[in-house]
Amino acid sequence: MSYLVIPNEVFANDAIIWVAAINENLNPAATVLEYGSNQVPLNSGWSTFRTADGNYTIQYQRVTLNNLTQQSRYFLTLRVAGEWKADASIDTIPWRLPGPADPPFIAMLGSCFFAREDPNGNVGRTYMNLPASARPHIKFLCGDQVYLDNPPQDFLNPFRSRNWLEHRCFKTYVDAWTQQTAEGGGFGQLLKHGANFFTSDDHEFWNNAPDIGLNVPFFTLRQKGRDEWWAIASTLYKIFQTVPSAPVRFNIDPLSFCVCETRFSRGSGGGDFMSQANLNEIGKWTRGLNGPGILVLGQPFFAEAGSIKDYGLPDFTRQYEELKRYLRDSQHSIVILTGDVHFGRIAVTGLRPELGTKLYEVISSPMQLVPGAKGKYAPAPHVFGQISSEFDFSQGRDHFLTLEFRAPSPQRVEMLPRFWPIARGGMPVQSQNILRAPIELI
Amino acid sequence: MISIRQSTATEANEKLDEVKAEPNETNSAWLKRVKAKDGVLLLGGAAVSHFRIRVAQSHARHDMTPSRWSLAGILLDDTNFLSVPLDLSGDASDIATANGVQTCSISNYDDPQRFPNIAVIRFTRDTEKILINAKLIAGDREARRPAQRNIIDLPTLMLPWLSYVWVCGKASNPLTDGLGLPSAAFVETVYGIAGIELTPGLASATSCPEAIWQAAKYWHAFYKEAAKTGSQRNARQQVPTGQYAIRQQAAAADWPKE
Repeated sequence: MSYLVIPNEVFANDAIIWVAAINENLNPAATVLEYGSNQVPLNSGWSTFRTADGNYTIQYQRVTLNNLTQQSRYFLTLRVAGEWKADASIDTIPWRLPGPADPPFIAMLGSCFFAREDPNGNVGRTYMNLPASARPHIKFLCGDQVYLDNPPQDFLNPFRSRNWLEHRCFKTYVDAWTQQTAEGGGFGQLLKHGANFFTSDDHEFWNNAPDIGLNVPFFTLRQKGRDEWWAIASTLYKIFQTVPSAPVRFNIDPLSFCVCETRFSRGSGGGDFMSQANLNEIGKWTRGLNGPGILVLGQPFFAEAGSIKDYGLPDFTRQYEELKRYLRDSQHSIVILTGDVHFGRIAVTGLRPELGTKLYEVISSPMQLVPGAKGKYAPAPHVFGQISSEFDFSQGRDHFLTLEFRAPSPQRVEMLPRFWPIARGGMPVQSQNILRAPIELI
Repeated sequence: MISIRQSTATEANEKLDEVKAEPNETNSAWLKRVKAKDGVLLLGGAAVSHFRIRVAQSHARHDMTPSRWSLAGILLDDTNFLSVPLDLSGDASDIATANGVQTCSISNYDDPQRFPNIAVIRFTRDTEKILINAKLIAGDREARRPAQRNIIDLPTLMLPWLSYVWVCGKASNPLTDGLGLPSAAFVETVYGIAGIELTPGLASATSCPEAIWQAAKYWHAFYKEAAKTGSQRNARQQVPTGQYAIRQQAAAADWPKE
C-alpha cells in the first residue's frame, strides 16, 4: 500500500526519521535509508502493529541519524532491494541563529488539520509552493493533526465495536499521512519535507479527551469506552507521530526551544495537564534560559477556564498557576506557540517589568477547519496581567504561520511572523503581513 | 521609561579612564593625545538638536537626567569616523544611497564648546571585522556594493528623530516608541553582526549612545564572560577599555554662544 519516510525531530547534528511500510511485504534485509551520500541499513529495529480486524499492518521504526552537518539539507531515500520506495528531506538546524545580514532560520507553526475537508491537498500544496526564501527549516505541529472523532455522525451508532473504532482511527492516520496529489500537494508532502515537532491535542483522541466528549457520547460516556479509545489513540499517536516523553529542548543560540506535551498525560479536568516531572522540566528550562525562549504547547496559555464541553489549561488550576510561576522565573522573554482554538492571534504582556522582558503568545489554527467548528476570535483574556492582542489577522481563514528568526546581536532575537492563508483553486501562495516590524526578544 | 536592566556590578569599569581635556583642547587633539584610532566614538553636543537628543535619553537613565551623549560612531582612524548624523551633508539622495551612513571628519566635531563631551571605547581589537560589517550596512561605492537597508533601515529611523528634534507636529520621543537613535543603531548593528552585544542592558533595540555608555561603564563582568565564550567567526570580545572627557556634565543648549 505505502512506504513512508517522515522526519521527526531534527537538530544540528542528529535527526530522528520515521520510516514505515503499511500493508507492504517488507524485506528488512534489503531495506536501507539513504541520507546524502550515506546510508543506514534497516535490517533490524522494526516494530509491527496490526489492527485487530487484520486489515492494516504497519511496520515502522525511528532511525537516528548522527554526525550530520549543521545547517545542511539532506535528501532521504528509502530503498528496498535497490528500488526507490519513498523520500523526504530535512534541514539540520544551525548552532546559532543567523545574523541580520543572513537568511533567517524559519519555523512553521500549524495546528488543526481535518484531512477529509481538504481532498485537493491544498494545505500541503501551499506548503510546497512557499517561496524558497520562506521555506521552513522545521515545523511545530501543535495538535489536532488528525481528527479521530469527526465527523460526529460516524459515531452515532452505539453498537460499533472497538475493532471498528481502531480500524477507523488507523485509516484516518493513513489518509492524512499518505495524502499526496498529482500536482505535488497533500498533507503527506508537508510532513515529508522538514522536521516535525509534534504535540498532541484532544482530537488526536476525541474532543475534550480524556474527559467525556459530548460530540461522541456513545463512545465516551462510560469509562470503559474512554479507556478503549484512549488505548487505541495513544498507541497510534506513538506509532505515527511521536512517543511523548520529557519536553524536547534544543538551542539555536541565543534562542532556546522547549516543546511540551499537554494532552498525552492529562488527567481529568481539574487534575493535571502533564506529568509533574515534565512540568518541573519546564521550570528548569525557564530558570536556566540564557536568551529568549520558545515554548510550544498544545493549547493556549492566555485563556479563560473552559467547561465540561472543552477544558483548557486554566482548568488545571494547580499546574496552570505553577506554570505561571515558572514563566515569571525567566530572566528572558518567552514566546508561547500554540493552536487549538480555530483562529490566529498574537498577544503580549510584560513578564518581568524590571528586566523589560515580555511574554508573547502566538496562535495558529486551523490549517483545515473541521466543519461546523469555526472559531470566534477573541482578544486574550487578562489572565497574566494586562494582555494586548493584535488584530484578528486570520479572519476565519485556514492558514499556517511561519516565524522567521534572526539574531541582530549575541543576546537579541528578532521574530517575524508571516501569515500564509491556504491557497485554494490554483490561487498563488502569498503571505500577508501581520506586524509592521519583527518582534524583539531579549 | 525605557526598559533597561541595571547591571549587578557594584563598581564602574576601571578600564574606562577619565582623561580630562586641556583648556581649549580640540576633540581631535584630545583623540591624538589618548592615541585613539579605533573603537566606538561617543560625542555629546551642546547645540539645540544635540541637547534634545540628550534629553530624550533621560528615559534610559535611572536618575532621569539627560545623557552626556548625543552621537555614536565608529572610528576609522584618528581623523575620521563612520556615523549616521541627523545633519544633511551633500545631496538628499545620498542618505538613501548610503543608508544614512556618512564618513565624518573629526575636524567638523572639533569645537569643544559645540561638542563638549567625548569618549572612545574599544569592545574589540578586531577592527577589520567591524569595518567589513559597516560596509555591509553603508554599502561600498568602490566595490559597487549597495547598502543593505534590509539589515537595518537607518533613513526610516532618521525621520522620526528629525521630527522630534524639529518639534514637528505631535512628534514624541522616538526612544519611547522603540526607535533607536540612528547613529547608535548603526554602531550597535555593526557590532552585533560581529557577535558583540553593545547594549546588554536594553530590553529592546532602542539603541542610544547612553545605553552604549552604560554598557561600557557597568557591564564589564558581562563582557569578561562573553570574551571566554565567543565564537571564532565573531570579533574577539574584551572588557571595554577607553577614555573619556566630560566638559559639560548637565546638558545645556549653549551653543552657539551668544
